[in-house]
Amino acid sequence: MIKLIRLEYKKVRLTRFLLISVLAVVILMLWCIGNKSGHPEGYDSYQAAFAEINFYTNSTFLIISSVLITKIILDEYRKKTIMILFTYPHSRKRLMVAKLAFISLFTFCVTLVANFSVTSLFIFLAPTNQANLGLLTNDQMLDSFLRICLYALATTGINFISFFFGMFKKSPPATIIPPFLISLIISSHFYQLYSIWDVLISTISCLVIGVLLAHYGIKKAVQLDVE
Amino acid sequence: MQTILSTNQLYKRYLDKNVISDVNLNVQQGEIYGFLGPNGAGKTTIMKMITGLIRPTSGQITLFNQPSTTSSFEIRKRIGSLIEYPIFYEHLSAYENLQLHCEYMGFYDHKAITDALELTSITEPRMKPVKHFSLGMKQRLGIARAICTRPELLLLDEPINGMDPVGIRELRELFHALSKEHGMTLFISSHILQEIEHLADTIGVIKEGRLLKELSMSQIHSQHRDYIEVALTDSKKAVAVIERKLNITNFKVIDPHLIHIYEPNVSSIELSKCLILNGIGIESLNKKHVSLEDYFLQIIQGGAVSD
Repeated sequence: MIKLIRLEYKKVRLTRFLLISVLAVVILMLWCIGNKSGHPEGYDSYQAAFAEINFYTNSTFLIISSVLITKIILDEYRKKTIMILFTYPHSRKRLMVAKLAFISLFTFCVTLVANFSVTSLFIFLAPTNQANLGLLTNDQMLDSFLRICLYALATTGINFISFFFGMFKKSPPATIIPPFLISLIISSHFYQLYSIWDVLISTISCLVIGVLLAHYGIKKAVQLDVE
Repeated sequence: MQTILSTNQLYKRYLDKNVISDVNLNVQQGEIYGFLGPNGAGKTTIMKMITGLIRPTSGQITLFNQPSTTSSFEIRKRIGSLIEYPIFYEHLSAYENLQLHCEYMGFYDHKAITDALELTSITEPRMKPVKHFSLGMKQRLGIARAICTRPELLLLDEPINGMDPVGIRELRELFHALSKEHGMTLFISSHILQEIEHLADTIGVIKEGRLLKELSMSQIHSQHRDYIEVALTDSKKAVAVIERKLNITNFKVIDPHLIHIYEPNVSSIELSKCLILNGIGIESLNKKHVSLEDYFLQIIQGGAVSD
């Protein structure tokens, strides 16, 4: 499996996606810290600030990873390279799982790093450009750290859902739009939840639904003839 | 000789229509099998079934004496293929595409990649992306990819598409060399008869999903090259004479006044004498030569020459 994941990495030329991710992080920093996420008066609290940063960062990387799905999976169908891939001495299931594992790993790591980067810079600059935030306690720091990890996992789960839609429609819009809509719909509840346990349960739900749908997506790829 | 690939009552059904019906192929080890048929006859569908891209609706495919299933991965390592048209990861170079292929196939001899590129005369710079290749060059690269893992069975679907005459000749020589020197079995599909005629040891003719004929080139040459065309007054009466008096069975009534006799070693003098003596008027009697093209056209157009 590791070999198959490595071969996916060889095929995709990840540099472009990493550059896009870096650019996205810079824009997020400018928006969330420089422009205070569109609130001229600034954030009310650290918690509110972290919620906004998490929302914008996760939504951005949800879209970037959906684009990666179109590149790694849908392009194989659209450019018909799947006809080569499925003649190799590996089961279709393993080949598709390797692709999803690669995308998930990328999504999780990049979302995590991006969230930490933006949040860290926000905390570093908060004393100089934010008023009314009060003191940042160790408990708030720990809470924020755990939330960032859980949100990255949830983003990976939602990513599986976009894979499912992508596999059924075989079109980039069908892959990119659903996670964006999901992110918008759940944002007000998911990122503002007060209890870390609520976030944990929501994340597990996202992962379970995502994995189940991904399973159906893979099943479809395994069963269908390649025309 | 050992059968390396065979199909038994192979069917494929799409939307209540059989696109492949009762196909029974037999490919012997080391031979070049020409799979001939017009566009849309079902050649690619059968090749896709052999490579596992499409599942048969019913019937069996046997490869290397083992039944081929969706999980016959060890068998797939022994097959090289170029199906439909050459498809690559276009942003990668020729070398990178072949390297990727070898890694997926579990074949780790990198010299084989340079050998395959040399054999197919791919002279493009090593790092040039495939998207800048011409169709002919992509076709060559597709063949290089198919042979670089040194497979025992090579499946090539219309391999000369997009090639210039010099390229076609080079490929023909390459296919012969792969078969004779490297012992590979080649299964080549084409709708171009002349190409198959130059290459194949055995020919399978397919039309509308049915295998009409499967026979060796030597059989074709010995059986169906010459015939006698007799223009006469009454075909019906002549048939009785030809069958009963001359014991000839291999003939065909073209129309009420024309008969083709395919039986070898029939004397024209004897034939005319016998017909005249039985009251059948002869307008003309000519020895004719059937080209392979005529022969296959007859098969494909439904007027199969009787055996």
